[in-house]
Amino acid sequence: MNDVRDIVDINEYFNAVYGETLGAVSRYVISKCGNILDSEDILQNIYARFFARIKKKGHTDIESPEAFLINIAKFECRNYFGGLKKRSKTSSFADYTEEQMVEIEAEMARSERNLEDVLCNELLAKQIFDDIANDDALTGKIFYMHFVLDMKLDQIADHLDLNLSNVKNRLYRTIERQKKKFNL
Amino acid sequence: MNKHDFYKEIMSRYTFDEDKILKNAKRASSVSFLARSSKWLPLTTAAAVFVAVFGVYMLFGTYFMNNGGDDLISGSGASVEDRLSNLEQLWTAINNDDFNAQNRTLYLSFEAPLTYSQLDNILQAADPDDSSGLYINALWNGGFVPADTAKGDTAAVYTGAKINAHATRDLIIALSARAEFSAVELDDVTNDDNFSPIVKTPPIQVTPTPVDPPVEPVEPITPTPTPIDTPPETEPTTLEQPPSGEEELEPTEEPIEEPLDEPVVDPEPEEEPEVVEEPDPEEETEVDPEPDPTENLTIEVELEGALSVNFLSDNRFLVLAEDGIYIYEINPTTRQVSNKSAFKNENVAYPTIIYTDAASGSRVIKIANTEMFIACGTTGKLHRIDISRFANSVITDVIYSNGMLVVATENAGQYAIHTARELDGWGFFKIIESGYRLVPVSLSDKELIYAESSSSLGYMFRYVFAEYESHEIDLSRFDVRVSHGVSFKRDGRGQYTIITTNIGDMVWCHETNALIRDTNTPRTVFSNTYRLLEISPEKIIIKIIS
Repeated sequence: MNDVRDIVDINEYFNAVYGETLGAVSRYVISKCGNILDSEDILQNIYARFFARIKKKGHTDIESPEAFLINIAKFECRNYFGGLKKRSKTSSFADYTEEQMVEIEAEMARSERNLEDVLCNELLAKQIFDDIANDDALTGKIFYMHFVLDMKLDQIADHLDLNLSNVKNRLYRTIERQKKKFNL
Repeated sequence: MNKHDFYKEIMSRYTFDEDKILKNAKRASSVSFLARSSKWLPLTTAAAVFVAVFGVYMLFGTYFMNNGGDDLISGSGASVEDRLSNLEQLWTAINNDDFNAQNRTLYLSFEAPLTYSQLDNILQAADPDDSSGLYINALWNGGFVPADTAKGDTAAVYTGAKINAHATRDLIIALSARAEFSAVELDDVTNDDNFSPIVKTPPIQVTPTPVDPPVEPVEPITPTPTPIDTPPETEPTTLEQPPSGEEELEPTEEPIEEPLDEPVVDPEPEEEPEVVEEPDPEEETEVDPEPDPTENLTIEVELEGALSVNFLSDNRFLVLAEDGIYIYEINPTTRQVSNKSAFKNENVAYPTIIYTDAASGSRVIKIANTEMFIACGTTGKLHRIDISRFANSVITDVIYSNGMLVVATENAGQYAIHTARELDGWGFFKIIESGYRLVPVSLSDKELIYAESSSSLGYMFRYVFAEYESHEIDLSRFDVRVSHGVSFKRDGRGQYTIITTNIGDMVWCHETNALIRDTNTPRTVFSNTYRLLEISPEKIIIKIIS
């Protein structure tokens, strides 16, 4: 990130670092957070702490802003979730067969006109998001990592310390449920 | 668009707002502890503890060192200010990530006395993997007692301690976050010679109360509503039906004589308001027009089925009874009791108080989900509020102040806040809607502060009223630190926030996302002249205390 380090103005430097690192930092936070709905708070704290630091001490000594921010993120996540209970790692829903999963994945790739209408309906779109985020802490994270961060399911499984079928089940179960619930 | 792109858009749009994070990160970093404009309290443990420690000091502004003796504010060597200044510097360093870990002696001040064993448990919890090598050096109770000695005395309690540890930033934060400790100090200013615990409130001093001279027993006076023998000459008060649906029970000019066993009167328009029970004339006692204050210590009111008595003002009290709601007034000169307002309850459910306005003594009363009343502390009127519009909703919260009622409701996952003013005849306006639970927190003439709860954190908002001309005012979000008498303090573990408002303290529990509020503020005393002495099945006895 040599060109970023060359930026002298603090605001400009911060904006540039923010743009370049948000993906990686948010990926870390999402994977560590209890619920994706908490991620905004944590990310804001991380970048606020970073901005305060560079304001006070400058940034010329920061070799890798991303690494620096991930270190801050570790502290923030640890303190933020220090009081949370450990979640159970077991899940009790039935597995989908391979054929069913293939069918769901094929359906995900098909174009459907009504989805744009759904996105235009703010209230409905928010309800769909809330349904994912509040259903289960892991499901929200899986959705974010798969659809926004474009991570493959096996990568997500590694990242979250789950087995692949668990990740797939959570994903597809929610998609199928939402199909019925919201007529998608 | 396919479903993959659809979910990408949904998750991107709502998980977090990138622009807001960027903007708020810069703004938040400009204060000494982290505060964000969309939230009303800091999130990191370090910042939360800073507020818990310094927020309290700033809010209350008075600190004491507890020497266990008469000298509440003292200390040889370092003053309170020196030590607090040192604490502030410590927290500045911690917040700026500028704290160097090293082996140190730490001085702990306790919120409340602890035994050795209790302290040991707390320290273990703060440092569960024992990474700091923490051990108790001595405990303080007017002087330092070595740990070995203290350990052997299981009953002894202490108000401070000295510990040794490899003091890391995390350890300072963990110890300071404990509710049992009011201060955690390093040994650069504080030492064995000048230490005494820093407490946030002064030690309670008990002075013996003088023994009252014996008083001759006297006959309790049973005052009768006046005039007892004169039938009411005024027209029975009728309840008018204003366009907004308000019903107000007018105070009667004279108390109505009919006893309770007469037919029930439903307070509908053109019907008489309900009756206050009158004593049997045969049981009347003559009232001495100039009672000797040393003899008239109690007042009795004959009323069957009283459930509770609450004073609205110095000489006005509210009675919730099995069959109705009554407001009585005591004449300060004659001590005679008259009925101001009454409502006859047809419901199976009993009335209950759901809100107390500490400023005026007014109460909001609900009967099941069908009836709501405001017992006004300043006028003695009983206002009946039409809540039929909420028939399909659940009323989740209510607050009241100075002629304005705020009701929060929930209906099929949609939340709303409605206001109704006495000036408008108690007609309701919906002013806020949300998909998240809305909780009114504080109300004044000019503004309503409410919380919108989402996920694990509560958002605080402010809604500002115009000059009674319109309810349509800009909705603004801001980070409330101390504003218009509302202040917030978060406990060190981040589980609760204590909100201090003009109506008393409330606690927001982040885990359950609920506001815990006393409906009858115990600290507020509305009458300095009278106290409730007894409620019996047939009567109420009021004690005159001044």
